[in-house]
Amino acid sequence: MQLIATLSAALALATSSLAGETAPPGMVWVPASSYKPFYSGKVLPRAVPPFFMDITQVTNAQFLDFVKAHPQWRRSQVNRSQADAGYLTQWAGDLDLGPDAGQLRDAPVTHVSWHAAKAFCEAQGKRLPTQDEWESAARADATRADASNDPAFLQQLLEWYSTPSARIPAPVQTAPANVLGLRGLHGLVWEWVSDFNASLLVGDSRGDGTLERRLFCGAGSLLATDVGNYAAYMRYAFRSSLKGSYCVGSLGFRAAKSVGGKADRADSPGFATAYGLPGEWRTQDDKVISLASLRGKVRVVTMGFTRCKFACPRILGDMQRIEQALGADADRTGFAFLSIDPTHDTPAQMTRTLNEHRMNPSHWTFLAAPEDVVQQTAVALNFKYQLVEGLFAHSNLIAVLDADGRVVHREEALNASIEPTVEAVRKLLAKP
Amino acid sequence: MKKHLSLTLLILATLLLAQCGDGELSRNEKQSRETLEKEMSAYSSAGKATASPDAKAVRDPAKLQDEPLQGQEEAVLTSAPNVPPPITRNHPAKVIVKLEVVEVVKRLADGVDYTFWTFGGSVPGKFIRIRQNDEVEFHLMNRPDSKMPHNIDLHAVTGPGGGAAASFTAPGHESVFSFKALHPGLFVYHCATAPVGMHMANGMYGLILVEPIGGLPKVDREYYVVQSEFYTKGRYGEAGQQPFSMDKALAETADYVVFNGSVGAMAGDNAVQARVGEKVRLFVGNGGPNLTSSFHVIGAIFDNVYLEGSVTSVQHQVQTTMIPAGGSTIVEFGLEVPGTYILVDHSIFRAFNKGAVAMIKATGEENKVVYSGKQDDRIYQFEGGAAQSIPQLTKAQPPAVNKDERLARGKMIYTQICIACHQLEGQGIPKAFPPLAKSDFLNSDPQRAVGVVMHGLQGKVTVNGETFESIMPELGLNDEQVANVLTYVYNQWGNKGGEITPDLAAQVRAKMASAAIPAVLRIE
Repeated sequence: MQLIATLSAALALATSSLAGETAPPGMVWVPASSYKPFYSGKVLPRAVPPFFMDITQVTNAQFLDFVKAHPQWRRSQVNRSQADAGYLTQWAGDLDLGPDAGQLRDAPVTHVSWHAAKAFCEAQGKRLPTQDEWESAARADATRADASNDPAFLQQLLEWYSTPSARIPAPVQTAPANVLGLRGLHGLVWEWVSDFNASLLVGDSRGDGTLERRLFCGAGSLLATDVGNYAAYMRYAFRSSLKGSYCVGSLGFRAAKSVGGKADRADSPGFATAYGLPGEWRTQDDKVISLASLRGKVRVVTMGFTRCKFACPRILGDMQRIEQALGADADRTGFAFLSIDPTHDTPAQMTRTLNEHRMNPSHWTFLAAPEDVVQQTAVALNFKYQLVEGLFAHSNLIAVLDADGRVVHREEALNASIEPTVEAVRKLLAKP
Repeated sequence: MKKHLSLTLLILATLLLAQCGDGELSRNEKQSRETLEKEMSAYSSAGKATASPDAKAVRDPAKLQDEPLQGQEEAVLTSAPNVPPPITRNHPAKVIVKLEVVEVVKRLADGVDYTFWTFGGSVPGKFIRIRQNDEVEFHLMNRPDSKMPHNIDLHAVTGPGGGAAASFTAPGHESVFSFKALHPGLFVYHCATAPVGMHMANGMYGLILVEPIGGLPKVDREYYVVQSEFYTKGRYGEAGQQPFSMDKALAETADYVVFNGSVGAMAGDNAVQARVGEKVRLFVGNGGPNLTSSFHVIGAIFDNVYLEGSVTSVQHQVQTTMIPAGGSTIVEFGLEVPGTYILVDHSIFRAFNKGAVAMIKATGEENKVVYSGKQDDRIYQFEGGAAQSIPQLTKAQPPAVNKDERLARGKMIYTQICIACHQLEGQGIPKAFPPLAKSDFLNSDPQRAVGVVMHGLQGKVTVNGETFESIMPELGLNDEQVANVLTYVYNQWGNKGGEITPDLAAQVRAKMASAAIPAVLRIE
């Protein structure tokens, strides 16, 4: 087994060199694959381009080095929007692994939020893997690139899922390597992916044969492709229960990197609210702004895409009724539509939509930004979306943000009464 | 699907046709409908299933508005087999329920461990007891060391997923949602996180009792029992930590069927106690995930069965009641005599081979009239007090044509039948069975011998100076067979020889019949 793994790793390395790029240290080249996403009904398999992936999860020792260099991510400094109260609780202090240091050093780091994991990756010029990338790499066992049809493989995964989490997982190097040379994708910890919020399972998984349309806009019908694959089902369910700020004892991460194109090391600042997130957004008037410029006004916010035929028109309609219900107060309120579809939602398109709905431009702002900026904003707003056959399935969300960008009210169901939302806005406006 | 569709269409068409015409029922239809209604009302008024006294109150929607909420309390939660005390307040309240999900390795059977996913630390989950119209603020906590997210679907909740959608909780987090308990009854709750089958199979179920307005009638003891199955990779009893087997769960071939989460959880030293004369109530659930229970208490008859956990539908005098998977029942019975009352699933191999046994130990005074225990132990004699007929043992054959044949056939009969008592050499058994060897009894009167072989013998006989008082059964031999065997006997062991013919046998038979001598020849 070991020999095969080593040979495969060597082969991968060699092949990637032929492709013109060697894997960065600690990473292997994962070849292109065709992957059928678990939750996409009758869609065709998606192509997953080749990428680089960390051989092991990030360890506590590595994360310690990171927080040493980036104080805004230390336990005592971090904002609760970026990481909840469970952040790095396995450590004794900000920079101190504590009495279990010996075991923790080489064990996968856990109790880290998505935002923290993302910041770590960016500091190295890398990124989190996508769900498709992770799942296609994790299909492999010690000898095959795709063992997902082998019931013995799946049974083994189920057995791991049903044993309780070890307090401190085993060192990352002890995990056996799969045929791609990757260690511990199964058996140590769950792992963050960049688009974990594309898992749209509702809390109640019995109705999930089809999408719950009150909660999510459905682009095509979302159906599990293989409900016999309980292991994939469970990973999907686990991701669905997460929010970007969650820190969980059985959840760690590893980094990925795109092939070709350089990614600069980036230093992610901490943030208290969505308005503190970095990134450039383009308005319907083709002005470039950051979310920080939205400060100072109470706003009613949604995310969606203008090509949406189902929920977004309804949501925009509800927001306009809220606008009407506020009367004169609407002048003191902002209404924002953040697009999840930068490719199609150009300034011209966004202007068209604004005009179609006869919206008041002094109240309304349409914004579009590059994918990764949108993704981080969506996670911060706890908004879920998934690209399916060129259209998006997404949460139905109307959020009320205060002047600092704190979410004070959420309406997550379609056809709900606008009264509670109007009330929430009025309460905020009444404050001095 | 197609079959159902066409059937539905057919039914629809029939109904439509029935409505066609003048829109009035034909006289025949009217008559049969009247007969049916009469029968139905006769049936329900026969009291076959009676409503509890509060049935009307419970079903009366006006009652719902009538009850304002007063006060707030935190629910007392208990682990099986214990039940929280009955609700004493006569008004609804706001009730806070705090339930924690714990993934834990525990004993499933002796030497067998299993990773259980639990509500509150054990299987079944905590018992929740509230009152109809209570407003519950439900807190579901998922321990940080859990591997899986979990949620809860309470069958008492009317709303999406029974609460599941609102309570989806990642490890190390807490969800809060509220509901109003509109309906009384004993309801199952369980986890509904994907994959639901696996979460339930690992032990994520329990019971919530919503007491009706007015409460339940008073009893002396209440206990909490849940039947469920476990599917393990190894066979029943195979030692070690056993993982869950998806294949067996799909095939519904359970390795363990137990009460309260493990083999013997409520048996032997863990049996629950009661006293003679007490009225016992059991709140019984079936967590499944697959099997239905045929619930029976050995030695008891249920005075009341609240069918399927409904407090408005009570059945009386029941021996065994069905509990569907994901359902419940409430049974009440009295204890008239002391002893161990055994709870079983009467699909009996589950009880004896898979662990579906629990016990109630009742102590107190005996009552011999109701149950005496064993009063006597005596021999059961196969022959009985009188000669019995032994059915024909030998096959029918053509008659013997000469003495040699007669001897040969006689020998066969002797070694098949007579040898048992009179032994191989005709020596008999002293004090028990008389000898045939050199027998003065035989040699002095062949006709009497024929009568004996033909009809049996009872009473005192003296043979060769010894007295015997035993019973020789009527062997059911025909004339030919009697002749054959006696010819053989007379020509063995120093007897006088000669031949007994079938004709002689026939003569003796006729004489005995006509003389109205009883079938068994008596010798005094």
